[in-house]
Amino acid sequence: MILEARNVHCHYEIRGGLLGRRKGAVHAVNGVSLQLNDGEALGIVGESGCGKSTLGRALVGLEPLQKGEVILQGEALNINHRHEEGKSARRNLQMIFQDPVTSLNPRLTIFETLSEPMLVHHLCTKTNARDRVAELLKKVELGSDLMDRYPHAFSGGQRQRISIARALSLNPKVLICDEVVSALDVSVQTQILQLLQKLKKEEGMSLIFISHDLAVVRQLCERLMVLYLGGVVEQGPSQEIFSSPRHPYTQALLDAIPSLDPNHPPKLLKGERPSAEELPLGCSFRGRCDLADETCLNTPNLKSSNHGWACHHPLTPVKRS
Amino acid sequence: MTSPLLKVKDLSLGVKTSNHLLQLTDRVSFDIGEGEMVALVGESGCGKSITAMAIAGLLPDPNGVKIEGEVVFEGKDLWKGNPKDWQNLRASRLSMIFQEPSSALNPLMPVSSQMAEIFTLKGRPVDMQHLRRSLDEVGIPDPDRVLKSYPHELSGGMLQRVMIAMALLLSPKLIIADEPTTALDVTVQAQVMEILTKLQKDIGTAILLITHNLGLVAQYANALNVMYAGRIVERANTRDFLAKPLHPYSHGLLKALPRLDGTPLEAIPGSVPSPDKFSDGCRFAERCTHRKEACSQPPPWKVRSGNEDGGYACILEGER
Repeated sequence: MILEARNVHCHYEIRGGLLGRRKGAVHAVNGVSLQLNDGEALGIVGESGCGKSTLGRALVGLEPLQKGEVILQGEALNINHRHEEGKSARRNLQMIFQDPVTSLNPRLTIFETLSEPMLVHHLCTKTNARDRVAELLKKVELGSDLMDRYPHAFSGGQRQRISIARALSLNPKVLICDEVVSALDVSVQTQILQLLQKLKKEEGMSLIFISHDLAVVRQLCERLMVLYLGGVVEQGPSQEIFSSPRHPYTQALLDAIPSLDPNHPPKLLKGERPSAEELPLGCSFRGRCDLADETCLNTPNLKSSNHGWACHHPLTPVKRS
Repeated sequence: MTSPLLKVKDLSLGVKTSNHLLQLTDRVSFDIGEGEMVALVGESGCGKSITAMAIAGLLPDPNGVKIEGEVVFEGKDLWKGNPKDWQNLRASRLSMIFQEPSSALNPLMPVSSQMAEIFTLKGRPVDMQHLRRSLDEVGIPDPDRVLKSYPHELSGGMLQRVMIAMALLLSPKLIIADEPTTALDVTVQAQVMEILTKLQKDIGTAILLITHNLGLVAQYANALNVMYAGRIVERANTRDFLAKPLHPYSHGLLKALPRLDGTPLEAIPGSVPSPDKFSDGCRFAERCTHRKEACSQPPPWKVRSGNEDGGYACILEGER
């Protein structure tokens, strides 16, 4: 196991009024645990506000944890931005963000953007930096003649390739991708997915792929985790979850996607997602679930097996024909 | 077929920049019949949104834009008429739903005042009962609370429902929905699309659905027009298109779409050219695996065999 998170909680206080008193808290992530194996891709899916991005940021230390810990290669993660000791953790965990326009510094050339992390971590010297950058650009299938240009000269897909190259520059063990293809057009999206697939295979990296698009996750990830209101409702091998989801929310998510087959219209999920300020008692999906009854007032536990779900009334498994 | 509700004919739009004219769309033509849902599909920058704006008469500065062609709505050519007529038309006969509901609504006005404004502008008395009813129709559970709310107090799905309710307030004949669900989650998307199709059936409103999501088209639209780099490259009814896309770009788009069954993806190499690089010849040629020398000439329009309403712009014959 390369990366593990144990019982991670991220809460944000809401303050208001004249004296700035605490009025409540947004419970963005509530006790999420995850394991990422070597060379594996784990997909984290859920709708907006389910806490998937916060979880991703918490894993790399960009959000403070109220509770819980993140363990990288057997050691508790210590991302201290001032000290030498956090340096290897910072190097081994890299993140790629959703918006390739805002995640690149517009005032740095591509060469500067890509060489800076390597110089900081002594992975190259000033003399061989250009060769290293050319190598990186080749990995993401861009020409090395582009390295002296600024980000504005590139299209969205190209910029996302540059972001990937920047993350790769430190040879990280784990790459966390937060909605990396959602800002891109379908034809470009496919190119980036294929690139990530190739890199995962060739570099032996582990990936955490955060997305709201289940079909995209299906392409890339061996394992899947479905979040709802900051908690895991189902996790397991993606093939199994797609062919036979056990949690009603997972089923509802899958049913809502408009397929290309007009004979299978999307099914509706009733109601609205509750606010993360006032989490419902018991099962968080209770209010929107057709199967809910009194037992759902007790919080269901996530079954800790290969394929686990947090539900008192799991759906019957679909037999494979 | 009798004359359609909306007829767009050879619509070419250009934007004047400091030193030259940037041609954004090239002779775009399509029809929408009464009560139909027709989709305009394409990737960003293909000209679908600006076409929608031109139909609704919402192009920002008429002086900076060069327009050729016709937009005939209910038998009247809109671009030849008085701009004032257009304003009368909007909301009552033709209305629009935008992509980002949170930026399309005024953050400083409660929902009720924004909705009431439509009546005020038309010189009619404000009918609160009517507002409540229209919110109820789009599935808003507590219309009174929503009417009092400001946009920031409502979720994205709620706001988009408010937008739809506003667009439908005066029972228009045509709604232009520009990426109405792109900013929404899948479960909310399904709810919003369900409302739109229900209204289409109940009131007989025609809908021009502008989207990049072929799944939505497959599920909801009667017919579609595929746009690429400012031109319509294929037109078909949805069933024909899904069974047999004819243009290589349509083919590529369907293959590039991630599927839930995990079918491996096939990417289209390269990227969409920017408007200053648009050529006269086939604009998809440089990404096309079937490229021939003749592709540097403007592609001919070929009619789909078996259905004359459909067709595609490519030198290839239908068999592939």
